[in-house]
Amino acid sequence: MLTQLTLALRVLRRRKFFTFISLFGISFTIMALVIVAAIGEAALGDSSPMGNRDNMVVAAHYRAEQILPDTSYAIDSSMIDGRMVYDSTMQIGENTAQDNNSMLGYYLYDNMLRGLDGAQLQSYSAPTADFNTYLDGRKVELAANYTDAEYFQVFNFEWIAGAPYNSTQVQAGEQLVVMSDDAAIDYFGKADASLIGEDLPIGEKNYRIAGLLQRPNTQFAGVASDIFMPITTAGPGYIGSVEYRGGGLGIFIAPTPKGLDRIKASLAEVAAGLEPLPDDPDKNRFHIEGLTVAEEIAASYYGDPGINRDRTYSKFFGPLWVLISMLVLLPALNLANVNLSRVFERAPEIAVRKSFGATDGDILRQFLFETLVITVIGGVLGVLLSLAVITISNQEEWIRGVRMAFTPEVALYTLLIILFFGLLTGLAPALRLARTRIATSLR
Amino acid sequence: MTISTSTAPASSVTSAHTPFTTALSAQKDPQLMINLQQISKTYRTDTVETVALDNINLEVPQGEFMSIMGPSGCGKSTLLNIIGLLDEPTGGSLSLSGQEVTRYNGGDVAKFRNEHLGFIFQSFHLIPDLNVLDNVELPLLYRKGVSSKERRRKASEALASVGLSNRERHFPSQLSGGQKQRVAIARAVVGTPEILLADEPTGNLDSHMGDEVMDILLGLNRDRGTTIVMVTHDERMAKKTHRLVRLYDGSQVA
Repeated sequence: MLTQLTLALRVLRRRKFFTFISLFGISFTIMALVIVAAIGEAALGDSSPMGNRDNMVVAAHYRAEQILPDTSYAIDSSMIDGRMVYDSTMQIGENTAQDNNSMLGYYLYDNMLRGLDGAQLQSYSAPTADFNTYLDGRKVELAANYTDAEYFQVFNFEWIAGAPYNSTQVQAGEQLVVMSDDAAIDYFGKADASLIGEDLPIGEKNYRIAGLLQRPNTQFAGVASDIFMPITTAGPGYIGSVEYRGGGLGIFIAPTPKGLDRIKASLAEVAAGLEPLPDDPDKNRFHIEGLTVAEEIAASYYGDPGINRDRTYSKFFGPLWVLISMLVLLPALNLANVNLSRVFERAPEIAVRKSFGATDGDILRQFLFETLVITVIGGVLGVLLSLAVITISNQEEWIRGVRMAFTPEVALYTLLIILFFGLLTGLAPALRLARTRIATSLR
Repeated sequence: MTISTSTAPASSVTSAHTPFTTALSAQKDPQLMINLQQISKTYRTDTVETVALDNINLEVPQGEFMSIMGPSGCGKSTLLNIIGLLDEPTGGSLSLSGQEVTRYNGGDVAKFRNEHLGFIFQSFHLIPDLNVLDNVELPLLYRKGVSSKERRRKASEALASVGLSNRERHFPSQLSGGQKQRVAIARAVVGTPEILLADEPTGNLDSHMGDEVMDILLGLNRDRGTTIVMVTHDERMAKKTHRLVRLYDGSQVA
């Protein structure tokens, strides 16, 4: 084995151009795949606080329509026995006169969706407010999220210090705030237990810091905020207004992933039973779309999710899978092509090896080994490159809200891809080489 | 489908002893290292049938240095390839080192080549990606039970025997033609084969280098008793060997 490795490395050192092309292709592909997987894991994985991701339905899309009857007449004329005969048909249909889309209002959630059939846990969150605070003349932007107390049971955040506000405190409208570590470092220059009880001016109010949590590593809007405050401190735009629409979302947790469809059906049922509101009597048909987390993230990129959920999901993930497939296949095909072209160049070498006693199996093993060696080297380079990119990306926040991590699962997928690469690109040329006819090749 | 025979007539063999016949020929019953009986080789395509060798009978005793001459296309390289198990005869039987090898399968053939045969090619056929020592080691790489340390030692000894100890780390592209052929000889003998097959070993060399290479081969035959079969176009080289076999168009002459 050591001899095979030594000889393989010597061959690669001598053929610098081939080695460079192969290593570049492999390492770049591996790097791209690891980064895509790391982003995917960050965005869609079930690491904190998305531990309930697989059981979660998000209701963030509300749609109200004004449906009016639409009557149409059709008159058919035909000539029968020399006389014109007329036949008229009347159809009564529907027409959408106007509609609007928005997120959910707290009134809708609080009055219509509490105790939703199929949900063992649920919460309301309104992550749509941003505040600018000033410290020593420096502006700090904070993305805010108004939540109920159940929110911190639905999402399993990693706590650094303190604790979240409870239902009693929410009901009392206490001005408490939970802060992410990044926001705390940005504002206070530190993120430790000494901040608990400190004041944080938000808008025109002072909030007392109740807890510090690790900034979520996901782009899911429901959790990617800097500060979290009780919904009861949100003001009249949220509390007290009798509106189905608003700036929030309902989060519903099923007992098992199999219960997701039941929650979605329950949401549809509640929406179908909604009555028009006094200040908007024209709207007479309502929809509340329940999506999984993956569907919700896909929908956030396209802006029109609910009615075309399946198409949106495939519009987002379809191209992603095509991209990933191309990332894997194109370099693999290129490597196979380079290896195949070398078959003809190395045919005399194989003939010489066989004339001195190499069997077909020896030849096959040699070239598979060479291919695996270069693939592993390229893979290791790719992993190192991706670690560098991930580290720099996290430091410079190239993708806001996403802190990538090189997880063990990604490393495992990467290793499997490396092995797949090696076999895919090495097997065909190796088989071809092993069958070289000695006498013909030595002419 | 029409099968036509090529215009190239079948090959025939004549042989003659040279002035350099050694005491070998005077030994009683020297072991036969190479024994070809009624060997023939025919190349067939859909429309053409070419007879390259027809009914060749040849016996080479142990320790003989035999050369094969003939015009281009007479089948001498084909004959050498068959003796070296690099090509299969269409008919006949072949024994090497006392073993009937005609029916050997792939694995047996590879093992026999590795343990009993050595090859020297006109175009040297050194592996360009490996240095001189790695090239010489090659046959031992495929021999079971030889450690890497032992391989290195034997390869160094083989290189020393051809006067190239100071070129171990060089690559083939850094050698002259004569040096490449000497490396090829070292590679061919590193496994101490009983039979050495040389296909025009001096064909790509000038006369001075050719003489050097020929001296090495003669030395191997004299000092180690290696049986050598050499294909050559050079009458001068052929006359230095024990026996000269000529392939002619026409019938076979034993």
